[in-house]
Amino acid sequence: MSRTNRFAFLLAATLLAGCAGGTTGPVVVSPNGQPAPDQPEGLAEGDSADELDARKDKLVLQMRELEQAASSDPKQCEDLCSLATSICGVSEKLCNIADDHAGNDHYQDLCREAKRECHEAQADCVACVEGLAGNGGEASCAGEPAEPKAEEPKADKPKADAAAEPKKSD
Amino acid sequence: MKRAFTRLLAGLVLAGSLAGVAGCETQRGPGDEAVPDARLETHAVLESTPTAEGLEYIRQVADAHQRADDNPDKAAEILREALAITAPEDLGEAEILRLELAARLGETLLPERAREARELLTEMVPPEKSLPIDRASAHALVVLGDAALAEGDDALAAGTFARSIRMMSLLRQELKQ
Repeated sequence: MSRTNRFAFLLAATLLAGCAGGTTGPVVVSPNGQPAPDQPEGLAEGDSADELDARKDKLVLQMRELEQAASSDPKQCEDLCSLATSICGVSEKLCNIADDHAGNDHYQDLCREAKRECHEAQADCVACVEGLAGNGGEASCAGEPAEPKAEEPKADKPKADAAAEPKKSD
Repeated sequence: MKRAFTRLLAGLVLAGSLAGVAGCETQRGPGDEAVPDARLETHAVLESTPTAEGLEYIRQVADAHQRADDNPDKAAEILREALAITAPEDLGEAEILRLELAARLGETLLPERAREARELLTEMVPPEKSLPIDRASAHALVVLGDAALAEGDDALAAGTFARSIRMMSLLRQELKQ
């Protein structure tokens, strides 16, 4: 092989190796001279996998909140909270009796069951009220509860007056 | 003579045993302490087709409640009279109306006439009787529990309160459905 042909062969081989070794596109440099991050910055509607996942999660959360709000109506919440108040009041009476029979398993079992029913009833009341608040309230940002309106029942421990008249403010 | 005496003795022993069984109305636990009876049997009340007699009965009960509201001093008498009205057999809701009347009458009798309230409601809501799943049943049970508590009967009070909580939990489950 002549020198010219050898040089041409080597040049061609070098170029082919560069192609097979990978593509090197243009390098984007940020204003500060550093290489730009992989993800685009400052884009609110990007199509990257992470951004699509974040949008999907947000939409799922909104859908669940809407479902919960759709299943809650004020009358149902009023009834649930009223029952919670009654259950917890009677539970307290029962457990006071049980305190006088500390060594009697029958009384203690009934007291334990009563306390459990009270906790479950309160949880139902709170869940119902929070569902209403999510439907009618204005969330300041994701994950933070809205400021309760004056006419909405508060999502705390149900009280007799709140359960009976949930639209009055304290 | 000896045979007659043996027969007499056997008869006395048998009579004594039967008397002991008949006198045992409450459950007894170790140490002869009464055990709370928290049994609760329930049923749903189906809506009945309104008849003239049924509507008249409902009107009479509503009227009694209104008169009791207007005359607190005579409330017990008014409610007792309403409770004595015979309800139409085809009115399924009548048992709920009667339970509410009894509960309210019991509240009116408490605390000074706790024994009367207890006797009235013990007859209306005994543990072996199936009760309609309704707030009226829960109300009656709570008032009976209060009456028992006022009389110092812890077993009856605790058992009845437990039954009322179970009834209210059933109502809660119905609301969530």
